[in-house]
Amino acid sequence: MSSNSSNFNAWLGFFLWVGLSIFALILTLGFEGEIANYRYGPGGWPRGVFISIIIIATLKLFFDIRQTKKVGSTTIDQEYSGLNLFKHFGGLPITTIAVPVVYTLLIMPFGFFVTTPFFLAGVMLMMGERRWKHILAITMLIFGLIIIVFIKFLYVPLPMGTVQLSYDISNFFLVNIR
Amino acid sequence: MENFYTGIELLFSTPMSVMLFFAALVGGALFGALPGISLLTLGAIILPFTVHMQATDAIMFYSVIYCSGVYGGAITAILFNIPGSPENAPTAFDGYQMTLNGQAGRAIGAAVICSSLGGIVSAIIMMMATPTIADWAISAFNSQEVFALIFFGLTVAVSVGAKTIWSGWLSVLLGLGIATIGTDPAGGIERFHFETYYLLAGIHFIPLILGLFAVAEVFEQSRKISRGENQKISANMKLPSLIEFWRLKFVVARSLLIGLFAGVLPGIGATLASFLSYNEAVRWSKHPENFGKGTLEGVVAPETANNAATGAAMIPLLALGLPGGALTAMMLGVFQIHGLEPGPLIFITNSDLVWVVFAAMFLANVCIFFVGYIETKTVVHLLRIPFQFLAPAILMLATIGAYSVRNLIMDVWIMFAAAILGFFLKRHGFSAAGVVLGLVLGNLGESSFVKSMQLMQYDWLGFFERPIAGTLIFAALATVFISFYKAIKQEFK
Repeated sequence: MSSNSSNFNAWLGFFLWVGLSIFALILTLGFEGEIANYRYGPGGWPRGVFISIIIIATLKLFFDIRQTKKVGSTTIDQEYSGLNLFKHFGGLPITTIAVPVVYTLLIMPFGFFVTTPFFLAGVMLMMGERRWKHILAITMLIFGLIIIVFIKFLYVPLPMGTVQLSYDISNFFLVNIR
Repeated sequence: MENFYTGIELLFSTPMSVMLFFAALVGGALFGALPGISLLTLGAIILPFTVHMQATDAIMFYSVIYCSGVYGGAITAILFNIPGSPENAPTAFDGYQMTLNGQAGRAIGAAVICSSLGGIVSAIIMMMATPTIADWAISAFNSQEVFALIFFGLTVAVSVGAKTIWSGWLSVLLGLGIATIGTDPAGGIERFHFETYYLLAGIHFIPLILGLFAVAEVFEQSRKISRGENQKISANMKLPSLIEFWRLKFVVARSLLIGLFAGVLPGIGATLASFLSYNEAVRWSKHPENFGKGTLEGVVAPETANNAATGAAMIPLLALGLPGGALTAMMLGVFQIHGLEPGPLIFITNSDLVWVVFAAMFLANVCIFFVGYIETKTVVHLLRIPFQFLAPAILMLATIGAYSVRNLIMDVWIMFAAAILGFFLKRHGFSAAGVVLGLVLGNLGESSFVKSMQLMQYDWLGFFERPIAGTLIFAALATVFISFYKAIKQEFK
């Protein structure tokens, strides 16, 4: 990673922190002013927090840039400084994020019982497992254990699904397990 | 002693309590040791389900996983150079080198014995000191002292897990910022709720913790698997000899003292204890050049100190209601879930519950000593489970955990958002533990600040008119200035 790239990361990180803080500070202007029994009002504490973030982010930027100038590309720069989102999204397979997100999107309409086996298998596939017998066995094992522990013993209420067929399947599971 | 016996009696009063004790003992060590999962993962996963347990069982469960998990975290630190939690980080410095030198058994054996010893001594001190501290705290601690203590805790918490002091501060401040979402403690006025009623009650800390620790860790392991960075190491178990231990008696004694002292300070606890202890071991050693190359002292010092800090960390939690770290913050959550408020009065209102915690921690540390050998062997075998089979189970448990808090899918979204945030924060040297500490202490901090201001009629110097609050504020400001000075001096060197 070059010094320019390190500096870019430092600036990107700075703008993210400061941008977030300025946005929050602007929102605090919309809060009601003084509360009857408290002079600083609802915005006093958050303003203190977000102004502190701006100060610390500025100091961090200063020292990150100084560090880059001093030693060029450093381990800290390469691994930690700033927010090189593009590279690290590249480093982290997108499916690792996508599979849980898709599952969360589908769990309400299709219910826990219908979507979960596909999710379990999907996670194993995204982690590089290709032996379908292993995927099937582990999916059944985890799904079975979860149903026994959380549905039968702990009575945890899980989404039943809003689509009629999914709801009927979920209901079938619940009636037979409990 | 009578109270202690009552605690033991209650601990084994029902088959469910006994089962939970041993489940926590094994589960803590297991989750502390498994790569990609930590003690905090187990704590976060179990947290929503404590609603269905009795209060004594739920709090006992967390006390035991705290002890066994800190010990278990040493195993991955030694075998894989992956500390189970920040407090095991110094153990990895020499422990992993010992593994590479073919001495994994000696290193793990030393960790088992020292963890148990440190924990037992700490539990005894906790039993003797906590009621006294609680009695004193009733008369001495007002909202000014609570705010000062939280402020002090936050200033020291910035050093937990972050790469630089600036990243540490930003992590804690981010947590404080997230804590302001919802309503303000003075007038109940809405803040940062973006016109959605889901956020009016604030961001619940359970989905946030699940995301920051459990799911973010899956993301990190996934990244490593995709890059082929994960490695497998086999190890057998061999305890170090008594002669070796006798030679290290001063290291053990010094580490015990450091662990007890650091554990009492809220916001730092076991992490600072293990780092300080390691540093002191280097400073006092006749052969400091051996550290980092695989010396037994480098494992003994941090492992004694971090377990000594577990009991001591319970003192501020039980006596003052202040969590010393992410897991004790979860314990605070367990208290709140059951409608209990830890603090000086708990010794009067829920004395039995407190003694169950004491008895559980004492027995857990004794058990670590006796079952450590067998358990470690089992854990080593379990480490052979490929992560692609563990990951779906972790994600599943985390999803159910986040959803079941309030039966809201919004909490699952918050968990995944926190996981992505946690992944990038960790990759860029920020501290997820700092964010959690900021979130948990933020609510307490703001409400005690509001009360202090009202009591002192907005005179900020009023803190210095009260000896304890003044000393703590002074210590906090000194910590900030010294850490800033050191960071700047190092930069301009």
